Amino acid sequence: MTQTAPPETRRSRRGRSRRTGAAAGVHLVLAGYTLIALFPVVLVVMNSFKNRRGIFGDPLGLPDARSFSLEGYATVLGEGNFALYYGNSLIVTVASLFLILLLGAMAAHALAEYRFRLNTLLGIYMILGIMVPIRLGTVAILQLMVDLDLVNTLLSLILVYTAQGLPIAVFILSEFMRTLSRDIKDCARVDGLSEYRIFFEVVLPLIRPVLATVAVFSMIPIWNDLWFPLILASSDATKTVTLGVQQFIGQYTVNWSAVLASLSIAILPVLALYAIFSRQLIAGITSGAVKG
Amino acid sequence: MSQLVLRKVRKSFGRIDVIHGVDLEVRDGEFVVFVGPSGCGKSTLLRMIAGLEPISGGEIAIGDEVVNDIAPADRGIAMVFQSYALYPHKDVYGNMAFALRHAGEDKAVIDKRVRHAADILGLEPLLKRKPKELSGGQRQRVAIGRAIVRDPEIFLFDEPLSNLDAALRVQMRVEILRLHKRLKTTMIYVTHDQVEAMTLADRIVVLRDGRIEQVGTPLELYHHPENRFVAGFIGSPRMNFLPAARDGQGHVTAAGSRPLDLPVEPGSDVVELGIRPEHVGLCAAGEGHLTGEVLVAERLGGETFLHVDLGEPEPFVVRADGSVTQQSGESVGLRLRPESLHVFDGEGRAHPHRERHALIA
Repeated sequence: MTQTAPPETRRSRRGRSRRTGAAAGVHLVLAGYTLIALFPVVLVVMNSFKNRRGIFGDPLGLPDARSFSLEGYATVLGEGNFALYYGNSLIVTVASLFLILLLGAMAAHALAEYRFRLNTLLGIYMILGIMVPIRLGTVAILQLMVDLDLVNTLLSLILVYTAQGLPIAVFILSEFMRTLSRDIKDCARVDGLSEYRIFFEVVLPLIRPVLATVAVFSMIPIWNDLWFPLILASSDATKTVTLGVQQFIGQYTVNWSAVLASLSIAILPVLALYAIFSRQLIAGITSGAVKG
Repeated sequence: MSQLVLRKVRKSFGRIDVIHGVDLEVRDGEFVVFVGPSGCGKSTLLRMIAGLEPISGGEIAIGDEVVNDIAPADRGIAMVFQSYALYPHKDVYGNMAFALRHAGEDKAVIDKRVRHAADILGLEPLLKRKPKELSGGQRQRVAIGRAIVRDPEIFLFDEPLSNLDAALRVQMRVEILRLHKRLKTTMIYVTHDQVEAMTLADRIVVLRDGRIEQVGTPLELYHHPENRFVAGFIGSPRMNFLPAARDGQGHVTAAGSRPLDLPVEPGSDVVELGIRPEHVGLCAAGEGHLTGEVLVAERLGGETFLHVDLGEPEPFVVRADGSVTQQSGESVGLRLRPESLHVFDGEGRAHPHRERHALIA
C-alpha cells in the first residue's frame, strides 16, 4: 500500500482510485480463492439432500422437488452405529487436543523460560517431528500398540495423535513464549508463585489466543484422519467417523447419499470448534504483528 | 541500622563477569538510586537483591539475615518493573490483591490493604478496570500500588518511569518522592536518567562495568566527584574536559590558558581539568583565562548554551544567561572559577578539593 499525502487534489484523486483498484484486485483474488475452497464443501452438503437419481442426474444442481430427499440422513442416522463413531471421533479429538495443548505449552514454556544445558538441542529434537511424517513409523507403532495391548482402543489413537501434534505445537508456542515479557513472570515470582502456578495462572492466560490457533491447526488433521483408525482401531466399537463412512462404500455399489450425509454431519463439530476459537484465532495470528 | 548489606557480591554469566565484587550498605528508610550507563550491571544488581538472579559470589543480607538462598517472595521486598508487568487478565483490584490472595491472607485484610494503597495513589475509581483500559501513568501507579499492598521492607524500582512520556515522568517522579516521604520505607531505584537520580536519591550509587565508581549524596557527586567518570556522568550538559599541564612556576594551565590559581600537591600528576558549563563566566575576547570562537549558540529562552571552539576535538560548552548577545562566529573570553574546577590525574582520579562545598556538611 502506498501512503501518499500529495498537495494537489488531482494527484490525490488519482492515488485514491489506484488504491481502490488495488483493493478490488485483492478482493477478487480472495473471492476466487474462497470460491475454490468452498466449492467441494457446498457440493457435498448440497448433494447430501438429494436422492441417488438426483446426485447422478444433475450433480451441480440444487435439490428441487423431484430430487430432494433425506434418504441419506435416514440411512446414516437409522442404520449402523453412526452416533457411536461420532462419539469416538469426538473423544479422540478432544482428548488429543487437550494433551497436545497442555504438554506442548509446558514444553514450550520450559524451552523459552529456563536457561539450561542443551536447551537449543532439546528444542530442535522436539520440533524435528515436523519434518518426519509420523506415518513412516506406522509399522513400529502398530507393533508397539500390539505389545502394549492397546490395539482397538481409543487410547492408542489419542497417544499417536498427541505425538503427531506436539512438534508443531511446541514450535509455535515456544516461539511465541519467547516474546512474552520476562518482567511479568519475575513479578509473579516476587509475588510468591511457584513455577507451576506461574505457568498455569500467568503464562497460560497470556497465550490463550495462540493456544486457540494451535488447537485449530491440530484438530483438523486428527478429525479427518483415516490412516490410523484403519490400522490401530478398526473394530466396530472404536471406529471413528471417517472410518464409519467407509461402510457405505461397497466394493460394487456406493451409497452416495449416505456417504455425503455422513460427511455433512462430520463437518459440523469442526465448524463449531472453529467458531469458538475463531475470535481468538484472529487475535493469535495478528498478535505477533501488533503486540502491544 | 543498615537495612540492606551487600558484601563482595559478584555475578557472572558463564565466563563473563558482570558484577565484580560490590560492597554497599543501605540504611533503614534510605532512598538509594543506582545509576550508570546501559550495560553497567545496575539492573542485574537489583535483580540479585530481589532474588531473581542467582548470586555467583558474596553475600546479600536484608535486615541482618543473609538472603542468598531465600526465595524472592520471602525476602520482604516488592518490585516495580519497567514494563509495569501487570497481569492483563485481572482487573486493578485483582492485580493488587494477587500476592496477598496467593499468600492465603484473610479477605477483609486484603480488602483493607488494597483500599489503603488505592487511596494513597488515587486509584479508587479505577479498581474495576483492566490494565489495557489504563494509560501508561495509571498502569505504573497500579504497579506501585501492587508493591505497597505487600507492605515490604524494601521497595525495588527497575527503571519504572522510562516507558512514560516526559511530562508524566516528572509528575510520577514527584509522586514517588512523596510516597517515600509518607511510607519512610527503604527504596532502591535503578535508572539511567541522572535527573531522576539527582532529584530522588538520598544517596546515589554510580556504577560502571559492574563496579561501584562512587557512592554519595547527589551534591557530593556533583561537587566532589572522585573520578573523571563520575564527573562526566553527573551534570547536564556534561562537564568539559581540557588537557592540563603545569607551567614553570607550578601553576596549572589548561589548553593554553592563562595560569590558574589552583593549589595542587607539588609533584602530583596533573593531566586533565574538568569544568562544568555552569561554572564559566563570559568576558571580552582576550580577557579571562581562555579565548575561543562561538560555534553554536543554543538559545533556550531562560538560558543559552554556547559551544565554543578552543582548538580541542570537542567544543567547550558554556551555560550562560538567556540574555547574552554572543552569536556564532564571535570570539569570547572565558573566565573559570578556580574553586569549581576539578583536576584529574593520569588514571582519571580527581585531586581532592581545598574545601568542601558549603552545601555539604
